Amino acid sequence: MNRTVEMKGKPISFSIYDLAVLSFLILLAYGVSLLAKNWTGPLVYKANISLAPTALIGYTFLSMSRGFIAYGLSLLFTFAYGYVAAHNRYAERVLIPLLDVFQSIPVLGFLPGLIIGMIVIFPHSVMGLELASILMIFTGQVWNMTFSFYQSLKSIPQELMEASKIYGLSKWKIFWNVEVPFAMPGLVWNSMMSMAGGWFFLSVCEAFTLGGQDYRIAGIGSYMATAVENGYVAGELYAILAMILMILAIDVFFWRPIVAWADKFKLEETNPENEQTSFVLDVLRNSHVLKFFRTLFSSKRISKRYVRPKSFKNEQQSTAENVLFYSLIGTISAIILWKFFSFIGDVNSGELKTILFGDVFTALRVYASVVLSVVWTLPVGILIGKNISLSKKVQPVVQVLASFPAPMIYPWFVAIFPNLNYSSVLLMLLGTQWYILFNVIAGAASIPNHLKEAALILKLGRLKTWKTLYIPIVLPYLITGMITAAGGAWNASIVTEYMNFNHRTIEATGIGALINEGTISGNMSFLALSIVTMLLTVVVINRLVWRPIQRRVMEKFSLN
Amino acid sequence: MDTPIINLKDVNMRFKMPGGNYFTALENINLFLDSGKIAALLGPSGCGKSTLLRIITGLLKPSSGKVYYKGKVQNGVNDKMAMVFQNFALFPWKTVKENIELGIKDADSIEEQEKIIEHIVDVVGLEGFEDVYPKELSGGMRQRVGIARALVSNPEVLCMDEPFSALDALTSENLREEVLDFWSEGTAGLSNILIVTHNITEAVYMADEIFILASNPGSIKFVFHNSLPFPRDQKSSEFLSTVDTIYNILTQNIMPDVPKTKIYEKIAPIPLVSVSEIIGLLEVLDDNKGRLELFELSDRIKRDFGKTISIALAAEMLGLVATPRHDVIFTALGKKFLDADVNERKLIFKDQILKIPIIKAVVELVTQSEDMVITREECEEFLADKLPNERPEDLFETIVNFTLYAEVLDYDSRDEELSLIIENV
Repeated sequence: MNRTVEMKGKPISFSIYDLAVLSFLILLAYGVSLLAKNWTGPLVYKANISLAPTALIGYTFLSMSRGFIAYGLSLLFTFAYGYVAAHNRYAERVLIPLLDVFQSIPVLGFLPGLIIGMIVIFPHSVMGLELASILMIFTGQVWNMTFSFYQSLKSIPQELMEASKIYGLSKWKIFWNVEVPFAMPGLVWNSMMSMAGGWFFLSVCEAFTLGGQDYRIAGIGSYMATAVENGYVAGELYAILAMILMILAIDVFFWRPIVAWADKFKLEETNPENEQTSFVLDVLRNSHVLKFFRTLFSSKRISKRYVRPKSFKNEQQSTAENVLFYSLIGTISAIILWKFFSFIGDVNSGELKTILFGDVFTALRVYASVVLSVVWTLPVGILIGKNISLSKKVQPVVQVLASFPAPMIYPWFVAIFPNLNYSSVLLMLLGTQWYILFNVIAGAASIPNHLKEAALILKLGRLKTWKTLYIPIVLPYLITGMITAAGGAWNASIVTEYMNFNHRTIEATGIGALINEGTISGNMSFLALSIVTMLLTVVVINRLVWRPIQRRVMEKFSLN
Repeated sequence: MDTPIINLKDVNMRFKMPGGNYFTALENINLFLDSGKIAALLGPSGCGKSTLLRIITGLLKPSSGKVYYKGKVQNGVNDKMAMVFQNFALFPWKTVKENIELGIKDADSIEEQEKIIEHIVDVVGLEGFEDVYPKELSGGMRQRVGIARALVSNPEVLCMDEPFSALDALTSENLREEVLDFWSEGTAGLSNILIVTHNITEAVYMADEIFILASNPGSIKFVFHNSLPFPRDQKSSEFLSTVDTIYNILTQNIMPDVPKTKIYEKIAPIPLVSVSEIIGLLEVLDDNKGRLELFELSDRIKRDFGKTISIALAAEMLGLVATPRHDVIFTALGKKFLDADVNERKLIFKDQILKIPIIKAVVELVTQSEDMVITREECEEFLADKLPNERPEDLFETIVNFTLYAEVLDYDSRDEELSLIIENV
């Protein structure tokens, strides 16, 4: 199979691996060219979506490219936002609470601003719509990545930072050589979760209605939306198949190699048993591509120039600075509040009641779905997690399952349970149970062997072992999972409480449905008030209920 | 006289503690170091010697006072210094070679850089490990990488923060020797070595100037000029007598012979040790006919010297031992305590700790409070107020440990509450 080619006098053997990598690169180039062609087209609000299965191939490429561009933006945002928050104590005090708020805004909350803004910037090309769609996917991906990066930066060992300072590394070098590598394991893990989160609202991001105007851009999401609207069951199946294939492909060709590669950034030694493997990474390592890039970069690398260390900055907090900071924050908040109240001025008290009423209903659904998830994921997660060989086998399957966007199978659930008031609880559960399952598995996997042995030797019995060992150790993980799941369920209410199905609209009483109504009718003040109500509910419940519970549970049951 | 290479004037370092109090880590540090000398900063753990090293390198800015390098005020990290860290501070995602590369400050070309690395790898004995990740190396080999990285930056002053304390005895002995070899062979440009250590032998073996520090708050108590000629023989009588001298200075400063009545007069900090450590010390003493020299004691109980002194000091405060010069001997009470059963021990202990002002104050605080219960937070605030130079968390822990054993107070870790034990006779 090996053919030797003379190149610059050095023999280079060309292998099957090179062929695989090369063909992948060609495929990638095809996807990009497809997207480029699509983008330069004139502005069409509602693209014509062909329901032919062959058209779906192109659509899949389009959606995938959007997902990756959004992910690229998420990375840039994460680096910038996380860095500033970790390095500037004034910025930190604003940016970190703000992240909590952003995380709680449902994707439709960003929609009107994005669409209006983008169409103003690109009035004649479809680019504006495309960018708006990408940015909506971005809002589904970015927040937890940013949070993870910020937390990593805050926990870099002191000695490593001191070493980089004493050897005169510039801030730029410290960022790429110390901070990013240290944050890498967390960042990779959160990136996978984020990508999955981005697909969740794909249908909403590619096909939506704003102020009576239908918008649609070609992709799997819009294909699905069209198929559902027309009651075309075969099309729904094709879309699901395309989605599964896409997720699998991304998993095998993108995430697995990255996860295996990121192993080297872990601080502690990894047990060879837990070592991540990726056959794609092996292919890459065996092909000439990596070697080519390595030599390219090392020959380009200029020899290091020493940067003189900066002199001390005044790190003492001055009262004057503090006064200035807080008065600035106060003024800005006051302006925002004033703007907000004058904006929602025309919402009457009847509408306000409807919103609050809907908010309570949705809250009940959200927590019902969380409770239901706990009921099945707690035992199952513990069973999987405490058995290491089983969890190694199950983990990747669960990961792919979790990244499948649940809204794609909603129509069938609705066909079985047509009353959305109740079935939406089930729909929320479909999307968010995974967060809890993941966390429970991780918790159960962390149970130390000596405690398991102690339980055995004490002959505690099954029930007692669960009560005194498994559940207490899993509890902190469970709470973390529940918080994430509840947040996800709130956001998911906009797709679970309102649906276009077989040429008719069905909806539940709830704030998610109200947000849809506000977007579709273009009633901006109503929409704004609904979103802010939901946001406040989420943030307040988190602060007053969940965080204190989490703190207590961590203190009591955390192993270290 | 030449200007000293390093000169510190009235350096103070305070850290803000949660709760608004300040912790004084270093107080009025004045230090001179002449060019061409090896210096050691020697002291028990917690005396601020690592903080002092970070101030000297410019990694930390002192709260007040000035640092001069060759007569010029130093502002920020000094690029003429390199540092070797206690836990190596190697980047786990970079190979040995890439880690060393970070230290190179100026190389005109890739070829020159390669040459520098090749040379240093040869010098410190890392041949064949260039492309290995640090996590695959043993502790000693990792520290070799740390030393190589420091040397390629062509420092004038090589700073070492307890460089051998994370290594086993054999490895550290070996590396210490090698560092002295680099030094005596005259690595280009290197004029001083500054080493932080809590090991007296290490200090006497390596240093010309030994700065002896004591804690509460951290300050320089004595500067010892060590004129033993190199190479130093650790078994020679001169060497041993130097160790002994330094050791006397340390005990004098950390454990001054204060009349007992004075200890019980004013509120003073107590050594941060546990009851089991005190009892352990008494047991060891008992096994050795009731008298042991501190240095030997430290060896027997396998604690570093600073810790041993703390335990002995605590036992002395409780009237269980006496410490004439640097010996530790039983008092009559101490012997009685050791021979007693658990309940009698507790009674003796109770009587003794209630003589210590700070513990008495805490017990009174609990007695006078409503329901005879105070929270951990209240108690720590009280301690921070009475003894601002101490860490209240540590002090609290020690007091709780003592009073629990003596069955004076009860502590509930769920509610974090300290309560009085009501005696029911």
